[in-house]
Amino acid sequence: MDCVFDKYSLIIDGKRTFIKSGAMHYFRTFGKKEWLDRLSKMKAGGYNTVDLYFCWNFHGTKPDYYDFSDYKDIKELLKTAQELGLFVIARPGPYVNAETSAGGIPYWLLKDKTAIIRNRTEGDYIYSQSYMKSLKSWYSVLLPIIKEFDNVILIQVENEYSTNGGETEYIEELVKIVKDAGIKAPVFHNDAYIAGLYSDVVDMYACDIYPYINPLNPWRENAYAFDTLDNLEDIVREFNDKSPLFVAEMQAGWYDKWLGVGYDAIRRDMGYSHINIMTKTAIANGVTIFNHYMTVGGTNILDMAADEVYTSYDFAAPISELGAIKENFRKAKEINYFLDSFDLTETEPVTDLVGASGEAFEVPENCFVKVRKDKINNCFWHFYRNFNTCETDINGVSIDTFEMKILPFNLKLKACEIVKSGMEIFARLEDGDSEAIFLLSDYKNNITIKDLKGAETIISGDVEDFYEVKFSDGEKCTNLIFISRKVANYAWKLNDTMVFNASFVYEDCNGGGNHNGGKVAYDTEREIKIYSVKTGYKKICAAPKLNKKKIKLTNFDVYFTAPEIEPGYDYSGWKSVKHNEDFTLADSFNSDVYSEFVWYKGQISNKAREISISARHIFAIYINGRELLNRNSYKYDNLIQVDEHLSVLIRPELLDKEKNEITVLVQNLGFDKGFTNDINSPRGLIYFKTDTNEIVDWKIRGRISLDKRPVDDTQAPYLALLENKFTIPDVYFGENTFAPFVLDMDKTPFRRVTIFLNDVKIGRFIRNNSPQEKFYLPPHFLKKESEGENVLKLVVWEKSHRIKSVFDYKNYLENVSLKVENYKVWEMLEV
Amino acid sequence: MAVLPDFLIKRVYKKGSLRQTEEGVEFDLKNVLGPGVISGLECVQINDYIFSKNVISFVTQGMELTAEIVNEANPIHFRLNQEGTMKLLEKANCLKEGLNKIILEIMNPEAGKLKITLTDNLHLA
Repeated sequence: MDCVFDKYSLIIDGKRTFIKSGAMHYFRTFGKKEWLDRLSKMKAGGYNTVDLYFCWNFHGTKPDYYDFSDYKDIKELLKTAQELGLFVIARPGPYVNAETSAGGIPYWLLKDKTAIIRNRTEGDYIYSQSYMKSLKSWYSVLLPIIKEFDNVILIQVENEYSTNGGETEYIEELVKIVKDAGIKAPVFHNDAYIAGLYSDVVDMYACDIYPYINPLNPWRENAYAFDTLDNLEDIVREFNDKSPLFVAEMQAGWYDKWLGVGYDAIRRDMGYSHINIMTKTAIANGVTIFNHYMTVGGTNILDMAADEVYTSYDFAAPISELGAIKENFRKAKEINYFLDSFDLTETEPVTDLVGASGEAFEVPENCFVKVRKDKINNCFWHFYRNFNTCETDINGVSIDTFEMKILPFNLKLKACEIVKSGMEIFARLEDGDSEAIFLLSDYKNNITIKDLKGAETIISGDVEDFYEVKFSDGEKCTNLIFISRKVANYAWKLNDTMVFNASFVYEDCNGGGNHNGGKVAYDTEREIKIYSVKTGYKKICAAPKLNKKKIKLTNFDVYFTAPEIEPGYDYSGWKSVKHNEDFTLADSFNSDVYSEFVWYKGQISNKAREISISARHIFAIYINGRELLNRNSYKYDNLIQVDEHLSVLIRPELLDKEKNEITVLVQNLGFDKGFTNDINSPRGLIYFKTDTNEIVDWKIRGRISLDKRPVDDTQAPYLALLENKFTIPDVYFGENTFAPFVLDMDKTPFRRVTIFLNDVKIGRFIRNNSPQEKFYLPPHFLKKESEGENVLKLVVWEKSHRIKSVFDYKNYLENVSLKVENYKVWEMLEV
Repeated sequence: MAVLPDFLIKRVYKKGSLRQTEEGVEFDLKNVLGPGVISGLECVQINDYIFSKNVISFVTQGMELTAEIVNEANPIHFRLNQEGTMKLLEKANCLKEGLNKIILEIMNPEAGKLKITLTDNLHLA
C-alpha cells in the first residue's frame, strides 16, 4: 500500500483515511481462532486498524533463536488481520512495556554484562554495541515478516523512550534499520511525555495519553487530568506541523495490579464515559489517527507478566479478556460508526465560538467546547463536554453530566441539511441517492433540518425508537431514523445493513475485507431486526439451543511434588551461589537461574535461633523438612514496589541435628516492566543471615519438578499437586458458537496455586493479593472431546491458615471441589 | 524514582527567577509538561544550604500552601500552564554570583520521590 501523509491525515492509496485503531496483544490472546474472534469483533465495531506489539522475549527465548510456531505464529496473525481488511500498526519494540516482564526484553540479554539495555543507565545515554547486535538480530528476523504484509501502514521504533540528555542517535539508527529493511510505511516513536521527543528524527510524531493511572483516584473528581488532551493540538503543533495528530496509545482502559482494586472496580469507575471523553476530545483536537490501548484484554500465561500484574490482563478493555463486548466497546463502536459515516480527516479549529446562525456563545464552567470547520463535508462540528456533576446547557444543548457530544452544524445530506443538532449521529447507510441517518434520540434536545427548498423543521428528540422522518427530492432521499442509545448499544453495521438487538456480529470476509454476508450472535431468545436502505426491515427469531456447560471437578488425584524439601535430598549437583560478607547473595539471575520458582538449599547449625531474610517475591523456609515460614513479601508503598526484610525466630525443635538442612523456595512474579526503573532488579533470595552469623554454602536450582509422588510419602505435602481431567463436548467449540470457559477458584481452601492446563501455565492464584478468582481457560489450550481429555494441574503451595494439622490438610486436598464453566454461551445465525 | 528525563523536567523552572527577598529566597515554576500532582514538598537545597520542610511554601493561584500541609490527602494539583512561586522563608545567605544549583525534592503519588536538579545564573548587584 502506498502510505503517505500530510498535516491532516494518512493518505492510503491516494485516499484520506481516518485511522481508528485498537491494540491487541497476540501474546495474551492465543492462536488463530481467538485472533479471528477478537479482530472480527473489532472490525464489526468500526475499527479499521489493529495495533500489534511484537514481543521479543515471547519469541527469542535464547540468543539468535526465534520461535514463531503455533500460537506464536505472527505470519498467521498478520494474515488474519489482512483477510479481515484491517490495517496494522506494527510495533516491534525492542522495548514494548505492555506490563510484560522486563518490558519484552529477553532474559538472556539482561544477563549479558556487556549489554546496556536500551542504551540507557539511570536515564543516561550510553551506546552499547553488544545490545545493538542482539537487537539487530531480532529486527533482522522480524522486519522481513512485517514487510510481507502491505496492510502494515505505520511502524513504531522503541517505545516511550527518553534519556536525560535527549540524545537522538539510537532512535535515528532504529529508523534507518527499518528503512533499510525495505519497509515503506511511515516510522514513528511513541512519546510518553508529549514533549516532541524525536519528532525531527521519525517520519511522524506520535504520543500516548493516559489521564487515569490511579484507580484509587476517581477521574471524575480530577478534571485537570484531561488538560493535556484538551490542549493537544496546541501542544503538538508547537513542534510538529508536518504530520497528522496521532495518539499512538489513547487510554481505553487501565491495568490492575497485585493488591489492586480489581477490574470490576476499574470498569465501574471508567464506565463508557471515559473512552467517550478521551476519543471525542482527541477528535476535537484534530486527531485523525488514534489507537485505543487496549481494545482487547488478555491473559498473562507462562512467565510473560511483569511483577506488578496478575494473570488477568483484562485491562477493563472494550473487549474483555474472555472476548465479551463491554460498555466501553459499545461507546467506541458508536464513535467509529460516526467516523465511518462522515470523513473528518481534514478539519481546522475555529477560534470564534458561534452557533448555527452566527450568534456567539459562552462556555459554561467545567465544560469543554471546540468547533472544527470540516473542509470535506463543508460543515462545522461542535464538540461539547460537561464535567459538572449536573446537566448543563451549552449553546442551547442540554448535556448530561460527564457526557460529551459531537454535533453537526450546517451538514448537507442527500435530501436535506442539518442546520443544527442537539443529537448525535450514530451511523449512516447509503444506497445510491438514498441514505438512512441513524440519530441518537435525546428527549431533552432537538434537531433543526432544512429541506432542499429551504424550509426548516424542528424535530424533538423525544420520540419512540425507530421513529422516522423522510426527506426526498426527486431521486434523492434522506431517511432520519431515531434510536435510543439503548438500541444503538446492540446495533451493528454489517456490510450495507444495520442489525439490531444482536450481541455482536462477524462480517464474513473473503480476503482483503470483501464482505459476503456474516453472522449475528445472541445469548438469549430474541427478535433480531435487520435494516437496509433498499429493502427496509426484516426480522429473524433467534433462540439459543445450548446451555452453559458446568463441570464440577472432584476426586482430584493428589500428589506430593517437592522432594527437595525432604531431609536428605541430594542437591550436590546444584549450582553454588555467591554469598557476600554482608550476607547478601548473588540473585538467582546472576546465579544463572531464571525460573518463577527457585530452590535454595544449605545447612545451618543448631545454635541459630533467628533468621533475617529478604527474598523476592514470595518464599518459604523449611528446616529439616518442616516449614518455618511461608511469606508473601510482595509489597507496595505509594504505588512503588518495596523490599521486605524480616526476621523470624527458629523454633528449637526444628534444629534437631548438629547440622540442619535448610531449604528456601522463592517464587518471583516476574521482572519490573522497566518503565520507571532499570530492569535488572534482583530476584530470588537476596539476603540471608542467622543470629550466629553463619556463612551458608547455598546451592541453587530453578523450577518445581512436578514429580508425582504419593502424598503419603511425605509427612507434610507443602507443595501438593492436584490433578483432574475433564472433557468438553465439541459443540462448545463449533463454528457458530462462542463459549469461553473459566476455572472458578473461589471456593478453594488454598491461598496460593499455580494453574496448568494441559501442561501450559495459565495462571497464578494468590488469595488476598488479587481479586482474581476466575481464570480464563484459553480455547487454544483446551481440547474438545473428540481430541481427548483436558488435564488440569494445580500446584498448591500454601494452604489456608485455618487448616492447622497435616492430617486436615491432606483431607482437604482429597476433597477439593472446583468448577469449570462457561462465562456465557453465544450462538450465531448466518445472515 | 521516576524516569522523567532531566532535560524535560527542568522546563518547569523559570530561568532567571531565583531571587533574594526580605523573607528569604524565591523562585518560580511553570508547569509546561502536563497535569501533575504534588503530594509532598520534601526539601529544597540551594548550593550547599538545605531548606527544611517547615520553611517551604508554594504560592499558586492566589493561595499559599506550606509544605507541612501538603500530603497525599491534601495534594497540590499543578495543572498544565499553571504557575507558582516556591518561597523559602529563611534568611540564608546561600545565593552566589554566577551559577547556582537548586535541588528540589517533591513527591508524586504515582512516581514517588522526584529529585529535580536545576541551575540558574545570577548577577548579584
